[in-house]
Amino acid sequence: MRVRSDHLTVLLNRLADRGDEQFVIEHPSLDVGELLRIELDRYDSSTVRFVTKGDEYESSRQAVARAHGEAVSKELPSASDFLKTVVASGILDVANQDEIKTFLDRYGDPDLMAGHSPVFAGFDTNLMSWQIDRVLGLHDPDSGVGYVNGFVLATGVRDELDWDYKCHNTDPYVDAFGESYEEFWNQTLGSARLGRLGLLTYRRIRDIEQAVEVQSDRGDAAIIDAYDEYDRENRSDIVLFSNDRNFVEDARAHRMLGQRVDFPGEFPRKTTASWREIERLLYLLAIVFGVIEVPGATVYGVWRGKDELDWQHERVKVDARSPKLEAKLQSDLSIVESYEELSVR
Amino acid sequence: MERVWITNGSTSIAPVVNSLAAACDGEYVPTDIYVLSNPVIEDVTEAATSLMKTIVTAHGGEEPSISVESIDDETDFEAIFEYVQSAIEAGDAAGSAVAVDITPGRRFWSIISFQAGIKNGVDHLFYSHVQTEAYFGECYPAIPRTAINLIDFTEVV
Repeated sequence: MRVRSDHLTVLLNRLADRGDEQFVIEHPSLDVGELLRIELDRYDSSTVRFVTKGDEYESSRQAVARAHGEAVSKELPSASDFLKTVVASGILDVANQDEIKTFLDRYGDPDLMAGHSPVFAGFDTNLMSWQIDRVLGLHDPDSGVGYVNGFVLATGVRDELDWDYKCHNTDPYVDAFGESYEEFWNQTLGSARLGRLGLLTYRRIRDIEQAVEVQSDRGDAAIIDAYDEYDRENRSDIVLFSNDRNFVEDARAHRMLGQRVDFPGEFPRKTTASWREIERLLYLLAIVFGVIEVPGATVYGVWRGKDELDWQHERVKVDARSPKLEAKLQSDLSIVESYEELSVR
Repeated sequence: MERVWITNGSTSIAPVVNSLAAACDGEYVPTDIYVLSNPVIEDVTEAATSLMKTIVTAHGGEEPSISVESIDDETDFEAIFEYVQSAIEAGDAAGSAVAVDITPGRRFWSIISFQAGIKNGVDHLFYSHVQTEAYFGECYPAIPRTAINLIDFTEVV
């Protein structure tokens, strides 16, 4: 069944009902196995335990490369992308959170009534997959509050995210990771899925938050030039975010405000998270790893026949491994979906 | 055995249906549902009753018979009492289990329902308690189990 990311509470609830309040999120491959451990408790404070160290994970990935070839191992995200996925879910902070807060307190939230210029945020490509606007709380489109008044997006960023290579032969992946990879036929592989996540962020900011889109070529220089041109032609201040020092330096050389966003180097042993963050984590892990397992169910980030709307509505495919769980999930989803239809009438 | 569910309408759907969904999960799947409404909340009641059918059938029940009674004046206390009383009596006459849900709607509707339920010794007096505003407006299956609690006042009072 297809489940929207914000409806994954249904799955968590049914796991809790089964007595699986404590469960492990696993990769189907025996080489990788356990990714992390969830202990469902209060809606706003459950526990996430990071049982796999980055270097242990990376050596599993290398073992896959030795046994099945480099190309197959690239289907697994790097340890650093695994970590960034957890940051994107909101469960872990970026590494230089305090520094960014100081930066935003200083340059964000302008007093427009006092004649200050509005502040727009722009991004480098390397942050888009990690939904950085939300992670940093730059702007809340519903309440209209936050550090910035809007966004500027260079089309070069969008073009750099478009690496949509697909799987046309599932055999090597099935051999390496198991049968669930039969679902990957004609679907995006490995890092291409990160590109898709980035594109989704780009489109969400552009369409929902009504960002200004400026034309540019690919490459840092062209992207920074485009932001700079917009900055000069409009009475606004642009703050640019990147994971890359050089990009930030270039932005500053153009007299724009640049801020580096740094990701943590290693998982903590454990942390607390809300159910909403855990749902987000499940969704993002399913996309980034392609497929993950929880007790009684397999969650596919991509599957045979996944379409553009599934991407746009952030849907995953949940296959319950027990008929009893399957029936309960179906029944819950029918209620949730009818409820939403009736509520918007 | 027949199972009766007595409730009332509200200005939003969630509080009207969430206790029912929780009760169905606890295997109290009603066969007959009575809903008190008024002209102001008519549309919400209509949507809520439609969802009640979805909830009951999703839990393996037959489509329930639903009776909606509308009172013109929402402060017509006598009519409110009459409605609850006659619904309970109809259930008792049929030898059904009877549950009264006091979660949704006006507080004085709930108070009257509560009193009528206690007086008549109904089997269940339900109230669904949501711990946080963060999940207001969400429906039961989409609210963390640890954030919503179906209280049966026949067990605690």
